[in-house]
Amino acid sequence: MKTWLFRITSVCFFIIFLFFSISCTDKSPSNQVIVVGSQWYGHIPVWIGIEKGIFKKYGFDVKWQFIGKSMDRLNAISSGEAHFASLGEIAMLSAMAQGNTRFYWVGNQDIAPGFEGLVAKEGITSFEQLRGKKIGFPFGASVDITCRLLLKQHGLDPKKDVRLVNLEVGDVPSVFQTGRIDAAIIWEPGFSQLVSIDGATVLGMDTDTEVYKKFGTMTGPDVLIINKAWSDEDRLRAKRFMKAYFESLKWVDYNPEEAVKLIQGKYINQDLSLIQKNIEKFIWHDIEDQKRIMTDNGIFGQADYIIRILHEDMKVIPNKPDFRKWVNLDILSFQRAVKKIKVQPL
Amino acid sequence: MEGKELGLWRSSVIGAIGLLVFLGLWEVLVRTNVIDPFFLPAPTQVIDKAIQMTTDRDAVLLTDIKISATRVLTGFLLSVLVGVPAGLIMGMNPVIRAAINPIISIIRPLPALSWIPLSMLWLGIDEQQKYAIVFMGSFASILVYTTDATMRVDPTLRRAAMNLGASPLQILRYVILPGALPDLLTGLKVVLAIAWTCVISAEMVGANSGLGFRIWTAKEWSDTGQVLVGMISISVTVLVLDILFRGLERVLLPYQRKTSGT
Amino acid sequence: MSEVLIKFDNITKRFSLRKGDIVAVKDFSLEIKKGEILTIVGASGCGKTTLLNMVAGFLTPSSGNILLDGQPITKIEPRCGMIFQNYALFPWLSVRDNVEFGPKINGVSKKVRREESAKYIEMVGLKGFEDAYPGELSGGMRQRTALCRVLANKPDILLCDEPFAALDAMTRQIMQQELLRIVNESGQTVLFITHSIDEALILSDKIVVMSVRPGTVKDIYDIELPHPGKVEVQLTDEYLKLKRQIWAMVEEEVKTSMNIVSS
Repeated sequence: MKTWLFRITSVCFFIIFLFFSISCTDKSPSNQVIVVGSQWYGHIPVWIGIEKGIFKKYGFDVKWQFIGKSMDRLNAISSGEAHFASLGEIAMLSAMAQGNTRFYWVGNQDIAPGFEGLVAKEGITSFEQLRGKKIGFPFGASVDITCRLLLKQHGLDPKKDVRLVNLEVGDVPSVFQTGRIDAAIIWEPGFSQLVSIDGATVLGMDTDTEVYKKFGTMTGPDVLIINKAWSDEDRLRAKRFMKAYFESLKWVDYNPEEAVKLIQGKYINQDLSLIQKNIEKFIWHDIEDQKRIMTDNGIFGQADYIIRILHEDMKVIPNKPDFRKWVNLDILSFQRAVKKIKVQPL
Repeated sequence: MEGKELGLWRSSVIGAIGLLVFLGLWEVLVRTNVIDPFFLPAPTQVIDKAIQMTTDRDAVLLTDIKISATRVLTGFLLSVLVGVPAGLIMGMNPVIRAAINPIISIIRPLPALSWIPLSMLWLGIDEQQKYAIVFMGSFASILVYTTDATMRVDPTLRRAAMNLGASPLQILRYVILPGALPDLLTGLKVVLAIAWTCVISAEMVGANSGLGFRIWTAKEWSDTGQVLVGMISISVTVLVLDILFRGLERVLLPYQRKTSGT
Repeated sequence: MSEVLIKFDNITKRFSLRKGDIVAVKDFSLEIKKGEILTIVGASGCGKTTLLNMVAGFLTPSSGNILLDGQPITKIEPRCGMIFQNYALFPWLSVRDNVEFGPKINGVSKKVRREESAKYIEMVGLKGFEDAYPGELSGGMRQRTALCRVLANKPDILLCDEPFAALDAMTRQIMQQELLRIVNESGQTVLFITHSIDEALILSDKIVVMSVRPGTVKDIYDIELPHPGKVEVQLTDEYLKLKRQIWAMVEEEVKTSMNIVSS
């Protein structure tokens, strides 16, 4: 009786195991693309690409998945779970420094300074008053650098003069509201929530930092990342996808009001008017702009500067990665490839 | 060979050899790039990282261990102070047991992570909130273990004590407590390990120090080496605490060593 | 003439179970005199243990009273010390601490306790084992410790619930001798329960045969054998006659309880 029961149980477990392993190794159809991101405005081109059927037009079934933090998005791409994302430059540089070679850097799609700021609670109106106080934000994100740069600019040592606390992106406004931390720094849509609290003061924005003054960008602008294996597997497919993406981006650039209406409520939980007001501050970079931006005179200079801060100042990366090795602008030059195909005999 | 226990010396040696083989294999696989070092650094790299984390000017590792351990032990101690007396009462009184059981059944399965939102709301992000999470993750289990241990005390012992003239309070002090102690200590060992998982969850948000925090932050900076050092530190610390606990058991339960098996 | 220590005054004990009422003991009357060793023998389930538990105060009679020195027993009574079949020694206490348990919780000073326990431990033949734990002792030694513990509490009557049933035959014989010696030395009153007629004959001044459920007194035998512990005595006619008589009584009851028609 016992052996019989044991055998049945083992067989059941084996079947369950098989089922799971097979479903996990299911190869997704080759036209499926998983894009990950947060509620940040920078992802609007992807949402529009889905909503207006632009991706479909190019033959892609794009699935949107929410991942709040940049490094988590990069990990998803590195593991193959996701194919494409716009994420923070800081995360990308850290991953490069640690030897992650599973992705390509294919562009920088927007400049949107003025969206993240350090907000202090009621009673604190200057940096000097932050001495010994608690500041909360997600460690490792762009706001991490912004905060430290701002503190340093005002004579405070981030390690000794204040207490920095790690919070989840989504928790920052609620924790700030309870008054348990004295200041917080986060990007939109959290930033508006911080500002709306009674008595809150904006002590500084990313536009107040040296990085902005030198390069005109936010501390950690968003960069476009694509999974290397997926891209290399079918280069034409990757090129097609990038073309689809940038077409969506162009549409957003030319039709901001309509774009916002389409995605509000579905992808962002924020007031329509507020989103529209903020979108106006965006400078979108389309596919042609990348030739100018992805250069030493463009974002590369800023990346070098940030790397120096991360490695020498904050000592959070073990070396200064040569990020140029990860850059792949080839998949943006679609026009040339199309011409090549047309030449092929049928 | 069927199920025979090896002597202490032999099992230690064989265990050490097994560990070295495992580490050696791991090192070779990484060095030859079969495993991408980004995804899993080699043991030597992890050791380097550990040394760096202890000897750096900020010496984070030891501080982290100390802080996490403090959080665990504080929360755990609080759970014991609440859970053990409550468990004793519940074990001895069926009415109270029936009354409180439903509440405990709801609380007990909840993982520490699920308590984070409420605890942050009520207690903020200070140390109290961390203790609270460890407490909420441990105390229900301690209560259940204590109740079980109490109920498992041989009822004939209670009778014998009553027959010798013991009052209910004396029975509690001289029969129930010592009688429940062995099972109770076993349960406490289990819960102590659970308390560690609670603290690692608790340090995911609203912290700026501790082993859990170190692991989560290392992830933000894509520093897998630090993640591994953090994880191994947890294992070692729990192991040390376990050994100390066993020592405590030996002191409190001297009679257990000497059972002749009759 | 010794006085009556325990008087069972028309005891009935009823248990209400789910399947209905069970009358364990009915109209049971008996007197136990001071210094007497009285044994109750009977078939399984005839209510012997129930009787013992009522004397100890663990159960109360449904009707009737058990009088101890003329006063009814209403609560758990330390004056009726009990030895249990599974010894019930506290495993975390040494032999000495087990023995001192009763005096300790009754407020006897440490010095006095020490002296007394040493005396009793020597009396039961466990000198040298004071610091051993029950887990290290053999069955016979554990029972001696149990006996010692209960005697150290100076009970008026010693209640024994088949205390030697778990021991092997040799140890059992030795323990019977030891108990006899100790009890005769101290003049302790004993109420003993057993299945073994030989054991009853060896130990007792009086044997009570109990009927099958509902248990009541079937017959009482006065035993006046000289040194029944000695093997020679066990082979005498008088011994065998008594044994035959008692066995016949018990056999009848056992067969009734098994619903077998007696031949």
